[in-house]
Amino acid sequence: MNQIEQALEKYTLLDQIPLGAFVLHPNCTVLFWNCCLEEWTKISRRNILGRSIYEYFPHLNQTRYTSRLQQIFEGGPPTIFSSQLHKYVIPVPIAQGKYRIQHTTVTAVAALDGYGFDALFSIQDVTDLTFRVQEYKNLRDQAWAVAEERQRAQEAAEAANRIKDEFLAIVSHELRSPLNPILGWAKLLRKRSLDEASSIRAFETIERNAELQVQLIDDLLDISRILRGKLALNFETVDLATTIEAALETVRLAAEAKSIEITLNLATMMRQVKGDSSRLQQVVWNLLSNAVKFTPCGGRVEIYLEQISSQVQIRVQDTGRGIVPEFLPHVFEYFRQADGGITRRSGGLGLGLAIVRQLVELHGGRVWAESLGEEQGATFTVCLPILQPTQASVRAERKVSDDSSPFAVYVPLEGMRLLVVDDDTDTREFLAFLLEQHGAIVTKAASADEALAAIAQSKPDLLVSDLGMPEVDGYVLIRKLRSLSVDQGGQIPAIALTAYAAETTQQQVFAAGFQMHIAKPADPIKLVTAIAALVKQ
Amino acid sequence: MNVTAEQMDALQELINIGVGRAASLLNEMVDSHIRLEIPFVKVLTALEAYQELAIRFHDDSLASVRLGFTGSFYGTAGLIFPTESASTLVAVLTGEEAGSTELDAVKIGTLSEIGNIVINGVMGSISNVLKQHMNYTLPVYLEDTIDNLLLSTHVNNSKILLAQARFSIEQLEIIGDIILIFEVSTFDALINAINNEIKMI
Repeated sequence: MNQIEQALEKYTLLDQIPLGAFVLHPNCTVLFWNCCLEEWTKISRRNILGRSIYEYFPHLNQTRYTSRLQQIFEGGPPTIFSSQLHKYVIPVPIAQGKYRIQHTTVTAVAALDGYGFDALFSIQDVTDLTFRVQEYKNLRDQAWAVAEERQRAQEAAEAANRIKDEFLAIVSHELRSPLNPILGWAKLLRKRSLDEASSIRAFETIERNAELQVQLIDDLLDISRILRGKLALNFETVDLATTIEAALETVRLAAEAKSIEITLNLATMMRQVKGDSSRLQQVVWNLLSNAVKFTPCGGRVEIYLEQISSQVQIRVQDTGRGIVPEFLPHVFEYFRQADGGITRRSGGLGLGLAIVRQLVELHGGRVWAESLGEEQGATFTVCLPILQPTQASVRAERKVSDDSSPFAVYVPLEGMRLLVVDDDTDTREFLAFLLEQHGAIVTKAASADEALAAIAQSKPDLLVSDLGMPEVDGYVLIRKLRSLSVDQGGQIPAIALTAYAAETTQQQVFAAGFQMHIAKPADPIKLVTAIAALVKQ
Repeated sequence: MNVTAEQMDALQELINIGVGRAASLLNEMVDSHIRLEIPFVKVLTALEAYQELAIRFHDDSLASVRLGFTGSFYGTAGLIFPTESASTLVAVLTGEEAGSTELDAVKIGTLSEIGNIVINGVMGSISNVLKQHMNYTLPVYLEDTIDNLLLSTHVNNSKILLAQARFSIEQLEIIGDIILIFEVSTFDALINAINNEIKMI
């Protein structure tokens, strides 16, 4: 019996196992090739037995295999070929370019002729196992990523909540504060125990604090609108020099009170941009007001308007408190103030700059802050794209907004007949009194029905109405009015007064039939001017 | 039988040769350059070995590749790593980023080969000196604490050859322990054989 036949007899059991098994003679000829291998490689034993293994698998003729097999043929210990360090021992293709993943053990077995040793290869298919391991790792990594993401989101949410809580505390405090002097002085005034000078002081204080509160609430509303994406801008051609001068007017008194010198350096070149003039004024006012607020008495504020390539820049530079480097990156964030503690030196909600940034970005511009540090002043720069001459010819329809009218000129309402509608007695009385002071003849109505009755009796020149009234609101009133004929008063101009200055309300207001929309509390001069303008049309 | 200093040197030399062969084999197979050093070899009783290793490893999980030899000589050869070291070693040799330190089924296969190459290197040297054929059991992979891995030796009257294998790969240094457990008469035979070698030189 030759070796092949002997091998067949000796190793016949290996045909029954699910491993690929073959036996090599020290001269590297194949003595045995089991069924599993026949199946895997499609090489039948007939074709490989007695031939050199290198004929079919030349890659085995490398040191990494030959030197280790050497030790086996000398009767040495078993050797392992793992799947990661060897692509395969006997390649078994499963798809295009893909092979079964194998773990192979080689042991020395007594040679058939009694001298020396042959090498028995056992090949384990670990393809499935390898994929399972990889799959598990992928799932695990995914789960980790999700968990980490959640953790981060939670931390962000908690941080946001903390900031909001802090903000709420500040808001409550700030909104409450102006009420103290208002109430205090009001009570004293009521007792009539104040002399002339003190009374004037009382009125000034009350007015100032009420205005402060209006400003605070306006800021809050602005932020609310911005956060809900409901801030609408009325774009038109704006001369920034005019905007800056207008903003300057409003801070002039405060600056003078602190002996702060404000200098204007306005370049006469391109200074027109496309934007919402009142919002741009709000931006400049915010920056100026901050500059004045944070600069000590006797300090300086410089305003520059310059053109830098295709942008126009507004720069507000002060000699004030400055901004510490750690806070500089956070200066434009909501609810942030450099010191948020109870002992804060300056009041306010910390919303001004956040609003500034939003407004500037809505205009396609950028705003940034620079400061050399504490007590070293600060510079805020706003950059806006210049309005090209060709764009200037395209004029946006000028919508009448709630804070339009650049006129600050006092115009009397001599002889005008006005109808004031509001369910709130105090407001109604106040408005009537105010308008009468300006020469108007005022009729009062406490409800929409009363108003319609009054109009039926005698047509006024203009209607001023609250929107939010019980049962029949301002919208219904104006629609009913507009449904009347011209003779009956259907075309009487009307102004809507409302505590909500929401944008949707504005659209609804115009759609319903009002000519104008003013937010409460209405600035008397604004209201009077508006009435005069509308009646004159 | 006590071992003289001369014999210890010869023993160390023996093991170095074996490990050197293993290192060149490994270097032939992987991209990174590996240096394998045996800083020391100790001959201990089973108890001494256990004590020394217990202090080092406490209750740590250890990965071990082990081979048994029988016939005229009897004992076990094993290579032990703390599992993180084992995982790092495999990761570096397979070019994987050392992310997780766990040994999965695939990595275990690779570790088995690495351990096998080192052990075979040492066993090759030893069988050359002993000039006798030994039978071997199939290499196994075990993951356990040092207590359980050395369990069988507590009972036997064995001598333990403890050699520390230092794998240096790039800036990494991974330390594994080569533990050769010899049944006493086998160990005596080894020392005798070494003596003969020394005398011949």
